[in-house]
Amino acid sequence: MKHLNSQSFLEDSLKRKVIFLTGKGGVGKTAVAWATALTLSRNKRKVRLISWSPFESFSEPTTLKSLGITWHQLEAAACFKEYALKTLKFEKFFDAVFENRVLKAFIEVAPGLSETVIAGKVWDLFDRGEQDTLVVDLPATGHALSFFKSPMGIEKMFATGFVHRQAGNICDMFVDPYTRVDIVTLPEEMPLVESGQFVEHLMGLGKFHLGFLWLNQCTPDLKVPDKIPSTLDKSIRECLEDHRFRLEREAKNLVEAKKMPLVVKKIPKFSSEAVKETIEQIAAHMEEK
Amino acid sequence: MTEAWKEKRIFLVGGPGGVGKTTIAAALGTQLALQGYRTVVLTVDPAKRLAQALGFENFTNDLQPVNLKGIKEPKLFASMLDTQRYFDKVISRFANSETQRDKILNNRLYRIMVESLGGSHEYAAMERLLEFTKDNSFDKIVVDTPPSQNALDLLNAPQKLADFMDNSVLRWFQSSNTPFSLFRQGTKMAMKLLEKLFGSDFFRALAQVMDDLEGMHTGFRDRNLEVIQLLKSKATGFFLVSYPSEVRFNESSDFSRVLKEKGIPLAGVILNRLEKKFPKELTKTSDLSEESREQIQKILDYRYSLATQQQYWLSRFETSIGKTPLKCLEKRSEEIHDLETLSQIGEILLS
Repeated sequence: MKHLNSQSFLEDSLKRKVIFLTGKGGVGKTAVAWATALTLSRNKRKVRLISWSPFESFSEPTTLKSLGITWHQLEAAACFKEYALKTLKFEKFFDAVFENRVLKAFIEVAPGLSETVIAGKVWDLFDRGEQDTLVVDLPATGHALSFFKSPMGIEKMFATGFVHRQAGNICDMFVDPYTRVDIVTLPEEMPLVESGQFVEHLMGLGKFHLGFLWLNQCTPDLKVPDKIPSTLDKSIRECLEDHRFRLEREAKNLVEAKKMPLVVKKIPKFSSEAVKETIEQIAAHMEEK
Repeated sequence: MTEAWKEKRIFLVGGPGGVGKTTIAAALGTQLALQGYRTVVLTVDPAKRLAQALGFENFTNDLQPVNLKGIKEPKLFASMLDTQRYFDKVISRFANSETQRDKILNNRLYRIMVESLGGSHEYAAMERLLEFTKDNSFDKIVVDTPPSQNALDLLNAPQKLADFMDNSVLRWFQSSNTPFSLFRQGTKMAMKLLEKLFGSDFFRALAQVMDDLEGMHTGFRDRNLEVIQLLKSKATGFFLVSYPSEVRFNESSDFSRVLKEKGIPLAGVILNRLEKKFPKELTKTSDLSEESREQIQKILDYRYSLATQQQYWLSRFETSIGKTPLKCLEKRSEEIHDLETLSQIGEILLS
């Protein structure tokens, strides 16, 4: 059973307030997240792209700027500070406290704290509703799971305190009917297996609304003649056979992908290896269907 | 990499996730073993098929011999790193007493901390590497570095942990008798803030872990220095695995710059998954129907443009890395899961 009523990416996305994206490292998760944001903003939606990586990331603000996407890079220590200043009315006078390396070490090490403050910031933006859609580029699947898990488990871990009370709001946002979780993967065995495991874990956590499963970098559906003429050059025959092999293997993997409770969409492997061009090609492809 | 690799004992294989690091590390290890070196491959999370090829089907042992055809005496060993277990080992080593050790290991919060602390996999990998380095029975050590968002995590992890374990930081958290009046105003406020946010119970539990870690900082700091020494040593080669695209190019450039700043030499760059170059156009077309000709030409066009795009970024790599050896590996349509293919790839890398 798929969670979505609509098979159309655009139709469904236009209704959403929050779209979370995750996937195994190196599958093009960020590119798909950016393309999602671009597609929505081209359809007159006011979009904010949120990216979070638990480590430093090589993000490219210039590319996003040139695509006209509003973008926030969330970082745990900064979110923590913002939260403390605002929620606790902690005075600006004590700014120095936040520069304290002990406090920074604490944020880093306290279980689930980074995830929760980041999720809290996403909730804050969601709650204020200054945009139509939040597109959240989550870290790779393992970390994404702890992103969802932390606020959910935190009510138990922090028996009292503000964080405990806030966690409930965040969990509500995760399973809000206007929130969707998309997964990016490749038409290959291992990434698919990992996506399946992620889905299983996530469904164990709560009633998430699973959306689209993007099969990125698919071999384009260019038909190979049924019989490859033996008169062709050896290298051309090799090329055609390889292309056919890839198509057949991916078709098998597609069958597996379709068993998951998400709507499967293919994104072809475009020949461009440049960032901006790739994002634009993916966005154009998303809108097409 | 011609002859340069021969003087290396440690092969660190690093790079972003999804570029085929684990396979390349396994390939290097296999080939080194076939050349007669007693080799160990340290990996964190091998793909299932690869794990089978390396004999990890049921890894009950931390170090496992891998059977290579035609070689009687085991030359290749594979080691799968279990971060949690390894951290326990580290704690046991640095603990001043058995009581201290048990107190920490039995603390639930400590377990969760190992999982959540950024860089704990990287730290454990570096620790394990140090152990192997001291084991003289190994001629070559290949490390498949943990998949990081950013390859730099590997280099920063030991420092980060040492910082965290710093005595002055630990003391700060300690619940024991330090009178509050000794703290500066800012510290007092921070303490209040944390307590308000997390509630006193949680805060007390955390302070307890910190308290228990007392006295272990020297161990962590010394290890950190050892790791840095090791990374800079002539016997270590850092091999960066990447892919010919804009994103990977930028990332790799940043990475090699930081390596240079840290004084760690880059031993080689490996570009993986290069598309094979096929002819651009159909020549002999007389016996083909118009339809087939068009179909074939479309595929040739597509494959040609894939290869051309990669070629452009490959040339950018070539110009930017200068004299650093560069190896290219062709994209393989089938999954790699046997020792023979691994040794073939290893041969290309070391030739």
